[in-house]
Amino acid sequence: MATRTVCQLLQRRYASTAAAVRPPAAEVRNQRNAVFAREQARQRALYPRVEKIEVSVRGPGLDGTLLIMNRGMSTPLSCARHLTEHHVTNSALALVDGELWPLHQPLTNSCSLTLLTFKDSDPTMVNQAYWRSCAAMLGQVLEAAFKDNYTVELLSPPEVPVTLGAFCCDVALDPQLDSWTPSEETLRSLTRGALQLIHQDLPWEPLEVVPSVALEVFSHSRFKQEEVEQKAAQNPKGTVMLYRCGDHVLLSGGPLVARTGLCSQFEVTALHSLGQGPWGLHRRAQGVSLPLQLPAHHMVWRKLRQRAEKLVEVPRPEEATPPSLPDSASDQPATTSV
Amino acid sequence: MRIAREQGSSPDRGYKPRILVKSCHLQDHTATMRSLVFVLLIGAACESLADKMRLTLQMLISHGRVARKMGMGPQSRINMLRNILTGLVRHERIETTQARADEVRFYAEKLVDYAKKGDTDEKAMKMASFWLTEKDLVPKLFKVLAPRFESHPNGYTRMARIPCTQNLDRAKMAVLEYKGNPFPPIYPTKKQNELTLINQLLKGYREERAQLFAAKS
Repeated sequence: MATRTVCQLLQRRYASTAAAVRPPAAEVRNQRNAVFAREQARQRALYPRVEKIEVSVRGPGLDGTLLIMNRGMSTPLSCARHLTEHHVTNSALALVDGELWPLHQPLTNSCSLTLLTFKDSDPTMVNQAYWRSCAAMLGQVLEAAFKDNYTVELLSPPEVPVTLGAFCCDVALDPQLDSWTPSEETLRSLTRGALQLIHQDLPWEPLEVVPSVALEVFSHSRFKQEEVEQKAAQNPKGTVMLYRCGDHVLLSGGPLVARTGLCSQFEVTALHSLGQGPWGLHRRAQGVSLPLQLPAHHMVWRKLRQRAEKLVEVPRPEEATPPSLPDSASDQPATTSV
Repeated sequence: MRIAREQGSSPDRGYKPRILVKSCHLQDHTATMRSLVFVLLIGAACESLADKMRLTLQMLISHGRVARKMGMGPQSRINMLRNILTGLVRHERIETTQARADEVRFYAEKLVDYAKKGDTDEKAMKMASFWLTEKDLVPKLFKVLAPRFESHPNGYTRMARIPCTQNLDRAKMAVLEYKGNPFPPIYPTKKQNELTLINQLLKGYREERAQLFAAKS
């Protein structure tokens, strides 16, 4: 397990046990899981009788296909299962009536469905969703990596365009770990943890909840509660999207891809310290990953990995021009191809 | 893909119609041998023939002879090739049998070499007017084809073998074209999608490399 390996590598043993302000990580995880499962069961119970909806599938060679699916139970993945195995394994995201829809979210009305893959003519949205999912996976691995007496606070992962070369996950570690610097073996063990997740092929289950339920889920984390409020304010519907992968519940700014098995090459490349913030020492974990359908030659992969080790400066929309440091890979936001 | 068939306008077409089962692009040597043996047998009686040519065994065996025979003799062959070449200059891409296309290729390239000399050159003009049976193609050769291949030292034509399904005699067909023609390519290249994840990552990588390079210099 990645937890055991990282714990063996962390040589710090403090005599005094840190006063646990919050309960141990396992309990927190179980509590979040329980709330999530309860809310999911409640939402499923809203459709006691099977009602049918008509889903028209769009795509190359599929125009005019009409599927009769169940309201509140059928997901775009089940629609793909009615088509071919190629659609099941390759679709990462769905477009329902022009809106991005996670593959495991149930359909509620008759609609038109398009299954998106990584090899479409315009996979920009899929690429962004994939980058977000990889950042989420990195956050999950970081949270599980440390011993129970060290708190790990996952900050909101910044929206990074794909051309910057790496996805990042901001994290604020326990104050005891302020002087800890990660070694190469730490990064490798984190990578191994992520590869285990990929091997397990866990689906990202989406759930749209009202802010009060989300606040209950994240009752142990002040930062997450603020984030929930922020996201609820931004969303016109007032709801918040939660995703569960295995036993880890997370909050996301946009849709994630279907499952962890879609990634094939994954590497955690760096863990930079950004400086003191309101929640402690901010650290930025960076990584690079490629999906199963787009494999890279090992030479190309090595170059991409080397680039991802450099600190990624997230272009902020408030600043006029982002400062370009000599060893940062900052590109103007205009380079993202839309 | 517009592929034009060869059209001949010279009186001596030089090739047999395709309805015949025997493919007419390669001479049938058994017929030649039989006729020569017949001649030899009669040769004893026809002494005049023996006076004109030496009847040797080498004539019957064609080991190592690479020159093709087409049509009804050397003159017929040249006329046939002239027709095909005219069709090629007019349409810039034609479909014929593989052997004819191979033969015409040599003459097509030599014609362009002559055309490169310019239309003021007497020899070039003579060649062009001999080889192109339709005289409205002579200005096209000098004004269009010669400037197009100015930068090419050689290799003005491309030949591609194609499967033969339409012919009754199943003759092996080929497509011959002058390079730089306006038609879609015979071998279409698959375009890589720029927007896939790996191409976007590589694009960012290349831009960063270019920036560093520019900053260094």
